[in-house]
Amino acid sequence: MPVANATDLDLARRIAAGEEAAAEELVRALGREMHGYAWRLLRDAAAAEDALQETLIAILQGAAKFDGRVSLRAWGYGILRHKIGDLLRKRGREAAIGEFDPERDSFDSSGRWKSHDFQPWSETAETLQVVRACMERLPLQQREALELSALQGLDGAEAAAALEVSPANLRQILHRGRAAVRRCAAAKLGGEA
Amino acid sequence: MNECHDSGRCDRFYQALSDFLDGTLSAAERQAVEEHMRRCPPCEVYLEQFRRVVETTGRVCREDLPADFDRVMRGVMQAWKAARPENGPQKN
Repeated sequence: MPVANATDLDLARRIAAGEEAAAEELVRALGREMHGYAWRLLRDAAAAEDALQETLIAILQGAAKFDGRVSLRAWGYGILRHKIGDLLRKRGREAAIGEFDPERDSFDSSGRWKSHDFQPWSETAETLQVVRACMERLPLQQREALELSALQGLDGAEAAAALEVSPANLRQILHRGRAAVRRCAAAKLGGEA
Repeated sequence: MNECHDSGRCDRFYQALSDFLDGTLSAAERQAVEEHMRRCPPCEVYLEQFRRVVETTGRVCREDLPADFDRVMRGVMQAWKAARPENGPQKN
């Protein structure tokens, strides 16, 4: 489990004491990146802005409660993902892929592929669009895992803390999500069943 | 259709893929994955597709954002300052 460093604890203490420069430092450090995260999950500019704004205010107002058990960044993402989850639940979004390991029935008793007509994908904009569209169809937790793990500077332990799962569980969620996106994209791009 | 010419198990290769691409396998595990891939063309294609999925997530992260971040930040700071107790500590 990641722990906050002295800088995190000092920053939180300064914010709790009402130091505006410290609050601005935190908002600038986390805000833009969190904005991207919210926008990618919500795909709605106004909703992403609302989620970001509410999260940053909650972080600033809750700085006095920050205990350093996780990093300030992981703590902040934990707050943000709850706000995004609330918004998505209100939308009633249904996940279409990724509920199970997509390859759970793909191997024979000797561990070989039952069918393996995998076709290489071309390097085109269409491929990128298809992969992105498939990501949108993942359950929220898998999308969160994919997005958090792609953030630079947030390591596996921090991403797991933000998701409130163990690092081992995060690995499993991540793997299943990626495999589901691959299968979805392969069906659209190469006719794979 | 390409055939897999490795007696190793494709299911274990599949299970190790995320850790392989994220660089979290031990040297021996990594070598086993690479050896299997060399002798199993279907798994090699599968890995490349998997890699594209991982890379696409990173590319999505670099997308330009559609909103005015500075405006959001000003709103956050104003809301935070407005909610602070008037007799609380004030520093700059």
